[in-house]
Amino acid sequence: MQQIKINDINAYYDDYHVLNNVSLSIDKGHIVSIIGPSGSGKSSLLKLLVGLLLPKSGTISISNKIINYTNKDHLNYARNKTAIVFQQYNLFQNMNVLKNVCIAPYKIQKRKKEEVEEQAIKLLDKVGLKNKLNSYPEELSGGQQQRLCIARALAIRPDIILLDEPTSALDPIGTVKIEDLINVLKNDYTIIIVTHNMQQAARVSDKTAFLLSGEDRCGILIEYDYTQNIFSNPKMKETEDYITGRFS
Amino acid sequence: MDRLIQELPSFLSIWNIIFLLKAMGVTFLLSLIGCLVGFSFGTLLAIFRKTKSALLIPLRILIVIYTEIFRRVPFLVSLLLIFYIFQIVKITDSLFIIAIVTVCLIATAFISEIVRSGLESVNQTQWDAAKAMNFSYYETLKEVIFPQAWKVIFPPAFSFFILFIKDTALASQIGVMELTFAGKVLNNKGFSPILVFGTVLILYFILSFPLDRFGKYMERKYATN
Repeated sequence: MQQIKINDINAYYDDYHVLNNVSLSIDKGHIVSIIGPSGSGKSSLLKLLVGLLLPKSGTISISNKIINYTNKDHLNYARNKTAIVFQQYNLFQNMNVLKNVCIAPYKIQKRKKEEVEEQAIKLLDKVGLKNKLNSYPEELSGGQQQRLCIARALAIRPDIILLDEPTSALDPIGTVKIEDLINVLKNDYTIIIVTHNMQQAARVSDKTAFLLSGEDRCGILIEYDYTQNIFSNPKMKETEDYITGRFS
Repeated sequence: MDRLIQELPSFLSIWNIIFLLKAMGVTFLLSLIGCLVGFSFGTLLAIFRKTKSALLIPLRILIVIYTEIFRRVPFLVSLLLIFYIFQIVKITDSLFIIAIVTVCLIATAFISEIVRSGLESVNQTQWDAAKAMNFSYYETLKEVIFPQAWKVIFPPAFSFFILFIKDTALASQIGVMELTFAGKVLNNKGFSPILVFGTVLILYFILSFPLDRFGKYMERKYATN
């Protein structure tokens, strides 16, 4: 069953064309990696899904509902279904660990405080931060902040989790912990990971999409297939060049 | 020194003390109302100025024009301008109200700019995170941005308030009987300028010192992270 369908999407930052006619379908429960060089529009694709960037043309469907990102109800729907974990963590610096996780379910989703706190403590236990409830983000290591971001994303009970370069700032041990967590989460969520780490994409994802900057520097989708095919038998020369390091 | 000691009993007459306290009250009211109105409206203007709504573009332009003008024009010029406008339109003859309107206009313009820069000091990523979690603009401000911006807003805001208490002395130029004007009156009555303005200095200190301590308390309270 398709959970996300991106159809001929074009997106711009002011006049800068960042994504050009990108189409992608993602099945429920799949982990999809998006790889490609810097500036190819990988993170922009995630921003589109949560409405931080508005599409100029094309459509995005989430759970079979076409999302009109200028409509408040549609936007609420998309943001309740989808949670993003940012590359720079973007934790709320004025809140402790527990409040970072509780704030959106309690204040925005208007759920009961006791229920939200109970869920938050379970999630923080799951990501190994139960002993840090009263710490502030700046007191945590990079890996801990990233796991807190994931707990915060899970707290809003999404169906889809978007991870924007989740391990780019982490050491190998931190990376392994995040990948272990992704493996735990894959049974319950559809996950999209933007990554520069191709070994990671090969290890964790079911499918992989390769984006590249076209001649006019906007991102185009070169190839999208099962991860095994992408890495062992790519159809496009650009994909092969990129994954073998011959890309220039 | 002998003259000061000789003058002291007559200077500290009940009439003079009441006269100075009344003038101090006027300075206090001008400062208090200016600070409260300036902080409230200045914060509101900064919030409107940060919105992205196309519908509010005319309002944002007006806010920019207003803040840029009133921050650049000397206090005295604004005061005289408002004074003469009030003379023409004949809204009121009360010099105190004219002075209040002027201090509110000036304080609002300055505080609006201080709050705006405080809001902009918070990283854009915090706005993005809140937006992605479906916070509205006002929820983002209340829960995420202002708690982080206070530490940037409070120090210049309270410095401005303390400067502002001193600037209210210019209201004497249109005849408002505030502390400096009261000092001039007593000096003109023959009291030593050192005695008179030394007393005025102490009274200004009494007015501004609690505000300074309050500012430090607010900085400590809200600037934890």
